[in-house]
Amino acid sequence: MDREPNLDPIKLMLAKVLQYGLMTSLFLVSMGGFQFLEQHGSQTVPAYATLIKQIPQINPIKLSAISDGLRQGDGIAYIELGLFLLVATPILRVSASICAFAIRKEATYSFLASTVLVILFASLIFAPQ
Amino acid sequence: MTIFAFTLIIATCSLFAGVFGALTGLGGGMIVVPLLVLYFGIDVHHAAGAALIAVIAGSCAASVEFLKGPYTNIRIAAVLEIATTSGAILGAHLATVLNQSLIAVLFGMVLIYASYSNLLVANGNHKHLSQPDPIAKNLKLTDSYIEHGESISYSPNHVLGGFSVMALAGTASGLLGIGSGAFKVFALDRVMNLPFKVSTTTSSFMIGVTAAAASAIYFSKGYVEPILALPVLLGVTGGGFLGARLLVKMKVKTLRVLFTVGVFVTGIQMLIKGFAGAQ
Repeated sequence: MDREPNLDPIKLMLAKVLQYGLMTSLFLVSMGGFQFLEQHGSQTVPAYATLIKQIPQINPIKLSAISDGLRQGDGIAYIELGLFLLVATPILRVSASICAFAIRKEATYSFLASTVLVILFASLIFAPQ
Repeated sequence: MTIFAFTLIIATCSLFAGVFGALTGLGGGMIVVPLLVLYFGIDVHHAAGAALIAVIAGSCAASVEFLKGPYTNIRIAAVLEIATTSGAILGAHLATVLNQSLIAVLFGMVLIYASYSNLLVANGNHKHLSQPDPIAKNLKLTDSYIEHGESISYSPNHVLGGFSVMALAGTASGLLGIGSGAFKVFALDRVMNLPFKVSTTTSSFMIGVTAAAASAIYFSKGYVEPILALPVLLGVTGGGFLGARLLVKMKVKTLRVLFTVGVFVTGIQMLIKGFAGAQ
């Protein structure tokens, strides 16, 4: 009873977005990780720093290359998809909060959260190639 | 050594970094980057790229819990995220042009500062000094929560000051691949005079978006290596969970002091590494 007034349905909805995004992403990364280690785990390398340069991967990450990798059952493609989803999770959270503020008719906050979303997209568009 | 063994070792170290980060309150990113750079010969960019990813996961996990409580203020977060995300983009761009040795030196300085301020942390005794900021009034940033059956209301002071510090915190986050929770809490708690629990939970909430803004640039530069991100992400996230449990169960005050001294020493090592110009 004491906690009742503290619970905010918007916050609980945002918590759900974060929770499902995080869980799906960790699942994909772990699955890809098992697959990668199964495929390459027994290979020998002198150091981790050289390993990073040795294993062929989709880099910089391209969505089309990931979907090809997924079809071929490439573990790294699953890891990359999981990482993408993880980065997308806070972005989804911001989008969800824009809707929530709009439904509550808090126009100022809808606008502020939209500004954050625009900045996030700008970072994607103006990323150096 | 086999790839399997390497992955396992990095995952274990990241697990300790996660526990360490949770117990000191500095966050896993701050601990795992120097670990990777100093002991595994991984360059600062790739270490920061992997850490950023882990930082996003840590923020999501913490926020899922915190949002079920009364303290996270999503309105204050919406205002300040404009500053942190812009700063993060600037920081990430800086990371792509700055010399790695210089980044190591900056990292060392941040570690030393964070461990120093961590030892001096006040225990959340709150002082409402000045009149509520007119900006806070216009934006209706005033909020309240109920604790021990008593309604506690608060209103941020110095919104513009907090906004500026947040922009700097975002820049540090993008440049170094850390959550920079210490700076965010500083802005909320000290500059804006918010209650301590509101400051820490709202800071955690904003860290994920901040790191996401920086990570687009890290991704496109090829600094996020899936092979490295795999053990770092799983290790730091697991360690964060473990650390949070330990925090509740154990008396960690001495441990915290000891760990913080460890962070200070790591800061010195990063400075030495940077000045030596290795890489």
